[in-house]
Amino acid sequence: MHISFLLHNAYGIGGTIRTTFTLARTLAEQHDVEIVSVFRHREAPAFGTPDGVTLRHLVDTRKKSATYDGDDAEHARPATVFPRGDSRHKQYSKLTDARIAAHLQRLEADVVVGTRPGLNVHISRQTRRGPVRVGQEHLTLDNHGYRLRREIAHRYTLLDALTTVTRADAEDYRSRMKLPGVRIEAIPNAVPEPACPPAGGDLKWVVAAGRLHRVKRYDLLVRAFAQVAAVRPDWRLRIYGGADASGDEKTTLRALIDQLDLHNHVFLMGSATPLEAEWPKGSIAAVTSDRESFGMTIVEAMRGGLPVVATDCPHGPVEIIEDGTDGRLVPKGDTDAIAAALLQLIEDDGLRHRMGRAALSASERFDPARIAERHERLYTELIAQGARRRGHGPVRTALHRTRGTVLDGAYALRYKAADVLRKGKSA
Amino acid sequence: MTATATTVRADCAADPAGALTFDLAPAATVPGPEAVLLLRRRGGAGTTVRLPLTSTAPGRLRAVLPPSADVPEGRWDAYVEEPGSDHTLTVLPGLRDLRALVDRTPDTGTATIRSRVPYPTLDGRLALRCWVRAPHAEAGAIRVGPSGMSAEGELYGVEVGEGAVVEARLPGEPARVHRVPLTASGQPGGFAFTLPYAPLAEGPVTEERLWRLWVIPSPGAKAVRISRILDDVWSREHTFVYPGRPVADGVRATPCYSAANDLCVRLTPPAA
Repeated sequence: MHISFLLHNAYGIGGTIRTTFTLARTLAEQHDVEIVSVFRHREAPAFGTPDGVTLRHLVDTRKKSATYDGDDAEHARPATVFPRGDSRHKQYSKLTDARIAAHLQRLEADVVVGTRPGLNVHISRQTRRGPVRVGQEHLTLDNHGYRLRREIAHRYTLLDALTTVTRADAEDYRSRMKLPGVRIEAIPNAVPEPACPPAGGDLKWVVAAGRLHRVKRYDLLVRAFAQVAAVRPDWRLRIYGGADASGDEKTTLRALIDQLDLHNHVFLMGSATPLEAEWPKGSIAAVTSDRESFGMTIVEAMRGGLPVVATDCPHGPVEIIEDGTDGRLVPKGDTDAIAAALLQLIEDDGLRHRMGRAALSASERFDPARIAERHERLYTELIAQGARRRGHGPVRTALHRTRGTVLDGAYALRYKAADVLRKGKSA
Repeated sequence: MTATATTVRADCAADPAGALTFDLAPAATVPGPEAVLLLRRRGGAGTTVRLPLTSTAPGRLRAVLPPSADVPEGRWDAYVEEPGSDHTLTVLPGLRDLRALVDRTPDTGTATIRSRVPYPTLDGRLALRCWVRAPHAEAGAIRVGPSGMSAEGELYGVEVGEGAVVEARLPGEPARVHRVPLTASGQPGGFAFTLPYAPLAEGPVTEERLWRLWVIPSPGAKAVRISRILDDVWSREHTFVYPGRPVADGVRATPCYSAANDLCVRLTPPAA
């Protein structure tokens, strides 16, 4: 089958890009797969073009390129199709509205897959009759603001399916959104088997990884490690990850490490590429976030043979870790519980090794081949159902579009009113 | 893709015995059977090491740097060279499986300590950081007190004798030297010392001063630079970071590592 992914920017760095590349590469072993990137800001994708996948772009933002689109007058006008509630709205424009529309209206594919809410809306509204329309949710419904949830509620109804990365989020979509006729399915992200052998489990290091952002709650981990180091000063902690653009968490963590006198035990390692070679330098991984839409690092660590101590935060960890078997789940925000779980695995070599082996085998279910198969099965079933049975023939589409336009007008007015109110308050 | 590739990616792995292997990724341009992995020392006026590339599978080439190989201290850039051709490929870093380098504990009787860490340069190439120390002083835990620092470490290839000292030296000012006693600690080769900051801050501190620390195992013995090189961290300047303390009039003293992993005490002048 011919599968066409629509991605915000295939040339950047990020979890959605990485996971889309992994899925596309795996599907391309059997199918005709393309990735259409709305933007292109550099020559080559940071992650390299996935093998066997055709990559193209719609809007060229390379300043030195002969086909640079940044000066197009339409690009200066705000997007109206791409929803305002999507956090990327500012990057979109009348030009992207038109380019994406033209792409979707002549798309020769069996399946078109959107990879963020704004693009799912484009696909829902603008895809010509024929291709199966699938939206992917890489974050979670409750992560989205009120405006985006409203937009999703009335725009996603013309999708054939929506995939989430956790069962919890799929359940949220089913119970909180009225999306009749839209199949909602949870398919976790794929993580390839690392190219190096699994961890031996005897190096006395705990490893954590992820951008240094407050949501990751490294402060909890550092505090918990003060308790660990008091009992087992021979164990140490490496935190991999670059400073995050949204805040100076690195300085905060540095100060905390100094304050707790942990400079011989806790190290901020900066970012490491590829990360898969760093997991086996430790014997336990820790993920102490307040929220994880999925929990990619948990799976990466498990695929490297490490048992993971993770907080039971929404949504991913509980669907990845089986507490006490292949890792430990502890209450969110509980420093003592994190310390106790780490110490349990540090003090009991046999348990640590057993859980590491269990993590290795349990995480095989996230192998790209198995995950791609689930997407493939979904697409195949949707194609088999045919456009008519999928419930949105031309009449319903037209009706919905009309209703959509009316609602658009209503929303626009309401937001304008809200803006005026806000401005009035701040003045 | 250009017709002739200019780069090739290599995965590296360290084994517990200290050997490093470089596995070239299959590339569009497969180097010929005479090709070698060329290591060129940065700033080293033509100092090179050539390692044969042997085929491990069709299209797969491997070079091995044995633990005993003589690779002088420094930073080495990696290339693939074809004899008889002026075409060299720049080697890019792939997966670096360096778990065997973590927490190395060689026998303290080892006369020559060698450490080699493959790393990605800032511009994205593969390089090799090499240290050769005979003897060697490895720094360990560092404690930061209100008015000075204490450190533990191990000596390799030399024993702590009577009158052993740690000497703080200021590059460019050979006359300025401060000595504190060095004591042998419990385990073989173990040492410890405490260094007060006040003497290091004598005279007006108008610009940053970087004191380097050396062990003099016994009076008249060759000085041994204190570094930390027995793991996978090729530059610990920004990762092994210690708290600073005020010494006098806005001057701060902070234990630190240089980019070359030498233990130092940095004095910073008052903010202007």
